[in-house]
Amino acid sequence: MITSHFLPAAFRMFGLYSGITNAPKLDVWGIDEYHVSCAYQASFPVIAAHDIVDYEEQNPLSAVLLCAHLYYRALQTVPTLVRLWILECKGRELSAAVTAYTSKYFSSVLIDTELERATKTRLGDEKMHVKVIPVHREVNMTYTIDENEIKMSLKIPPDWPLHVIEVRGGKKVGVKEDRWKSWMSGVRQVVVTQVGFVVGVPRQFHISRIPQGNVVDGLELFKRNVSAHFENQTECAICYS
Amino acid sequence: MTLLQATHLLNDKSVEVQKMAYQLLHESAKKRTEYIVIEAGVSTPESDSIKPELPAELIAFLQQSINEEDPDAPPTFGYLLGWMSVFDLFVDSVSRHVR
Repeated sequence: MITSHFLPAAFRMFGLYSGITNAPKLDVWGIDEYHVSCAYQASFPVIAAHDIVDYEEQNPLSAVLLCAHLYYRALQTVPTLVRLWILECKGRELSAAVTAYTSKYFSSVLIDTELERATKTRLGDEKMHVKVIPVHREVNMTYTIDENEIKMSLKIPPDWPLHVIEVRGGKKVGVKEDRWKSWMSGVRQVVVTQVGFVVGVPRQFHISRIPQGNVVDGLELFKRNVSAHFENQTECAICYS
Repeated sequence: MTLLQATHLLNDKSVEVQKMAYQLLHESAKKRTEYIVIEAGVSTPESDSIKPELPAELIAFLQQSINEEDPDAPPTFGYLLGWMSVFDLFVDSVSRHVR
């Protein structure tokens, strides 16, 4: 239903079927929040305190902004379906317009949120270091054991989530190739998993609490694997095998 | 008021009534998600898995297309609020497996 009804309706409202030129410019609006004020209950719903948009019946832009908020939520919760729609879209100009519009007005908001979550994460400790590089849309996680480092990088593409987060394995001292590949594969799966029901994901990738975002979940899984691997391991000070 | 009635109110001409309908659907979505998350959390691979499904009346409503020239089409705002209640179902919806 998302691909057959919601997305076509949304893209029609944005006017993308006739290109991106006349599509509404959203950069001055906060698309990540939308407040539905209800005369019947003043306390509804719980809202954030910035750039909140409300619906004005007489203003045609109101419906477009609500639609933009919904598309933002679709990208957040069911990015795989949006990717699938673009992949199956037969109109080349339409899919190009959707990709460009998404990158221009939606990706940066989603990426900023993701990087902010990574910045605020408490996964860092005396051995594990998390470094967020906003300008490169990159998060590095480094585990230090004696003078050696084990490193993984997560790179968010500029049109995320239309393209998936790239997982790069860096230094891997003391970890066998097979194990390292399995770790990277696990992180890859976590960073592309839609927020929402994770039914169908193998049990070993289930996270034990509500996710904080794709990047943070990937970092958490990497930290858990590395920490468990090196816990009480003192056999060889050179290779840690 | 049932979900069927709340969904029906999204079709009302008054924006205020549509907002009230959304409020009811929003509350219902929260409770439904909570229930499904708990059920999925305590289920085992061997037991029958929970199928998170949308209410049939909401599905039927959202399968319409919005066209201002069509007198039978749902109001744009009400239709979008219907989708908003669908996305509300995803809030806090990740299953926490009980170990």
